[in-house]
Amino acid sequence: MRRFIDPLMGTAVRISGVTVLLVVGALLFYLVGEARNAFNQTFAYGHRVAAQASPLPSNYDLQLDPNASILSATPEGTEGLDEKEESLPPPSVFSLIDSPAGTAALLDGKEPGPETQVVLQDWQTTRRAEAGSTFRFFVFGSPQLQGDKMTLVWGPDGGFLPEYVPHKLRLRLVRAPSGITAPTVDIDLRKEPTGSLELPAFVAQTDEDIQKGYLFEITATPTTNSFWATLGGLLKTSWDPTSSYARYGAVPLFVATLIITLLSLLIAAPLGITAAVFISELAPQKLKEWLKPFIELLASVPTVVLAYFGITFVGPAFLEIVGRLGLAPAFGAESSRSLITVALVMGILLIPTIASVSEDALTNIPQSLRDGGDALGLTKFETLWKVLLPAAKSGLIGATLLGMARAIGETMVVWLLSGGTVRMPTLAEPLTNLGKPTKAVSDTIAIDIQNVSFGSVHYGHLFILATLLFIVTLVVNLTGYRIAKKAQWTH
Amino acid sequence: MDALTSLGNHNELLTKRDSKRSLWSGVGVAAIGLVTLFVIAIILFLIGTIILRGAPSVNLGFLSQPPLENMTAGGIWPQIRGTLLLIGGTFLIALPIGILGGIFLAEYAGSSRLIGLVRGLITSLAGTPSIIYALFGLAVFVLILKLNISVIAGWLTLATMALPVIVLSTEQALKAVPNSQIEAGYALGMTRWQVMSKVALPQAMPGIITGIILASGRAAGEAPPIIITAGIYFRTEKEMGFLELIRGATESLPLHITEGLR
Amino acid sequence: MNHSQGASINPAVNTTDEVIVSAKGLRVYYGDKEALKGIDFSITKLGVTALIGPSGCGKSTFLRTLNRMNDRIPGFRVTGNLIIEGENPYAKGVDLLELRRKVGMVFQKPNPFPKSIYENIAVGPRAHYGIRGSKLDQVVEEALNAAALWDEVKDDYKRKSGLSLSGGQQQRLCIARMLAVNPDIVLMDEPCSALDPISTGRIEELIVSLSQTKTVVIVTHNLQQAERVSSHTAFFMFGELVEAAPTEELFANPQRDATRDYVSGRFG
Ligand SMILES: Nc1ncnc2c1ncn2[C@@H]1O[C@H](COP(=O)(O)OP(=O)(O)O)[C@@H](O)[C@H]1O
Ligand SMILES: [Mg+2]
Repeated sequence: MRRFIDPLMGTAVRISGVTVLLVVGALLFYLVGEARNAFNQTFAYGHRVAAQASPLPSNYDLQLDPNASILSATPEGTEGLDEKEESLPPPSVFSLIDSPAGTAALLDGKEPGPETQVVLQDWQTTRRAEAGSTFRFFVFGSPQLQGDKMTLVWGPDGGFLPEYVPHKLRLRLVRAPSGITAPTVDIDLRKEPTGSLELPAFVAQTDEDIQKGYLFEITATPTTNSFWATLGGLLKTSWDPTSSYARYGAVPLFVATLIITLLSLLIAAPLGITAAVFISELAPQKLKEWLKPFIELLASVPTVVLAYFGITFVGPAFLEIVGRLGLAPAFGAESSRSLITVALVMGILLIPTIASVSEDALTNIPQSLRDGGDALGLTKFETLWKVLLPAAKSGLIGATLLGMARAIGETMVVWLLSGGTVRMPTLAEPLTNLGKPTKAVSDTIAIDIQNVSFGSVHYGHLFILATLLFIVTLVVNLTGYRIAKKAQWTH
Repeated sequence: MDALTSLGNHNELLTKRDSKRSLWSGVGVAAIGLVTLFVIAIILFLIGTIILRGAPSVNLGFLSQPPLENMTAGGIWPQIRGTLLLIGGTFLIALPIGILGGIFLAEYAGSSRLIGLVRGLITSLAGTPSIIYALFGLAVFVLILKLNISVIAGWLTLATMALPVIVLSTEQALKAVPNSQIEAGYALGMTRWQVMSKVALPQAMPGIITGIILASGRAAGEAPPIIITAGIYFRTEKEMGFLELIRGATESLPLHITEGLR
Repeated sequence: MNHSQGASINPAVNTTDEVIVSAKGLRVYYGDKEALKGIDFSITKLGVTALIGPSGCGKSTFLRTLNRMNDRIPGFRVTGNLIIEGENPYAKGVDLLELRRKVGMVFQKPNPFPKSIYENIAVGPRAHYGIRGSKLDQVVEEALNAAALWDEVKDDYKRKSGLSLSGGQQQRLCIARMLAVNPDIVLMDEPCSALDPISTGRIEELIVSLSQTKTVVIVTHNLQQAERVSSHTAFFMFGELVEAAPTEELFANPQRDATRDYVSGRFG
């Protein structure tokens, strides 16, 4: 019997060991691996252009001009025109009833010719970062045009921010109508995303004349490849994955996480360490035996329940207090779901972690140091302040770091209390950031992952966020353990 | 030897100083006591608030009925059942692998650099945020293995999360068993497994049990993995067999509270 | 070695010297256990008094009772009469800080604080005397000199951690730390038992030179050490003081059988 059990259990142990290794490996592999989907990102961009009579009416709004052409590359479309759009006839100059002038967009970068399909409608295409493109369009006046000037107006399509695409975007005049001398036009659309340009008037009397008008082009030239463009995109300050010009700037998320972490440590570290000092150095034995488990009890409260406490008490209480003091505007406080609510509840959440590890560090200090302080004639507090706290320093720092890792990754409290609005904190009035809703890394992952399609770019970005979160907590945790361990004395 | 000529001995002045120092020390100690009292008050208030608000609605009916009338009445029995189901299955998977894996790391794996690295990794995985396990579970179990959002996917995800905690505490508890006792076991002619099961494991048990408690707190209390890989707010089917039950998503307490607070 | 400075301890031998510590019927209890069973013992100013005896006989207890280091131990109680420099340290309203200032202590295992050498020494005078700046520097230097450590650490004593010193140096640092508060009485509980012979020799030299300005009471397990450094020796057994006499007398001509057995190495 004995002879069989030993190898059998040995095998079981080894299999389990290997399983553990495989699980650890799989965790790393898939976490990083699924992030690859982010690099399939296509970069959407789009401009609106329109021709108008000069001078422009003062209330003119390009975004509302029905005759404007939208030259846009967004992920919704396919390469080139839709079949439906392809069958559209070129616009008639006489259909531009309300407008003295118009633009007509032309198929991707081709020279106009007898067969050219010209459309007024936008056309949509999706581009990888490495793929540039050229959009051409005609600018002409309709027979209603008066005067000898006309104006070309351009601006980004609604929701498009030129600095989010890895392209140089330029607006150029390719050809002026014969007999008209126009200045050279070559404008950097990233520097000058919106603008207007006065041109000598050209009137198209017939539909065929449209193609004799001004020919402009907007070119997008890649500045980098998809890999770097995706990474670079993460460093920007707007996170809006569901817009048609999707943006994955993760900076505000990380800044929110950082602020929440620091604020909560500011609350929890002094409270937790002080409580640890009391338990370890001042409390009588009986009280100590009761107090330590009592504080650790807080660690076993599920975080959803803490979030409940935040919504029903902490948030409203903060609103009430700043309201009474007339400080609500100073804090930008409008809702009980805000950054400060998250930080306060997170502060409570961290107390047991920090107190428990700090208490261990203090208890670990050899008795001989307390004796040394006593024998020197130091008071209780002097011994504490000048001998014991410095002796426990690394343990206390370690405790704070372990708390920090906890705060960085904590999800439910942030999810339920942050208000879920991405917001880049402002430096101008720093206090107002506290009372406003926010959205941090962990809750973004938790919320967004429930609404993405498997393998999409958005999905990949959530895995990038998770990988970063994993690395940060790993480093902070290991540093914390290592520093806390340094405090271990050889008694 | 003339010791310390530079120190005078003005006893009168010193005595006054002493009482001032003692006073300050008292103030400092009192301040520490007060801050600790504040911490205790926060915890009491928090637990008190939750119990006082919750207690009136808790009765046998609340614990044994499903939610009724659009979640505004009835009880939370399906949520309790779902949570218990999730934790039970999780431990069925994670306990044997975790404890044997801990034994592997402590006694069989040796101390190569690679194992050292794995040990460090497992240490930090025990403290890795649950949202990361949730994402892993979603990708691997729900999507790639096509288990869908289901109790099984939840089990596997939660087991992945509980595993490092169990492995780590088992390993540490075993490492704390004095080497002399292990050697004494071998000296008596015991086999490796006998030394493990008769000498080391009984002594390590308290540490291992602490680890299991920690892991169950994590598995039951950490909401994201449950919500994302196994969760559903409510189900319309009333009766179903066990297989159907575990192939589908389940109600659970964390999700129920989360939905209630959103 | 210079023993002439040491005044005799036993009042029966030499009553002319000033008594600095005097115990009459001193009893110490740890809970129910009586650790000192009525000690009558006086120590006179200056010189070195060695306490010897088998382990568990109450030497440390006696020493730690003098500067009230036992107060923290649960169940600790003292009865009887104890006078140190004319005051009863256990009387009501006694200034504990002053007592510790007058009665310094060095422990068996060196216990430097995890701070720089300078800070280790500066803590005491800063707290007691409120001195700072160059005056403090001067005190630290004097203390290091008095503990014969200055020459070894003078280059980097402001930066170097006290914990990075060798065992013997650490013990001398602890002596310097104590001296910086300028006590009259120095208690040492087996100060060399954790040290190698060379370090032990240096500490012994230090003890002898200290005894010219301070009253030193040292517990030792090492009979040769007691013979080398002390002017007077007291032999304890089972919580009682068996015999106290000038060291040479006690070793050469013990009055009690137990003492004779012990100093001849028959037990202990
Ligand atoms: N903290 C304590 N609690 C209870 N008993 C103690 C304590 N310290 C010492 N004792 C007891 O008091 C007696 C004297 O101890 P001690 O003074 O340390 O002896 P020595 O230093 O001579 O070896 C011993 O029997 C010891 O067991
Ligand atoms: Mg002793």
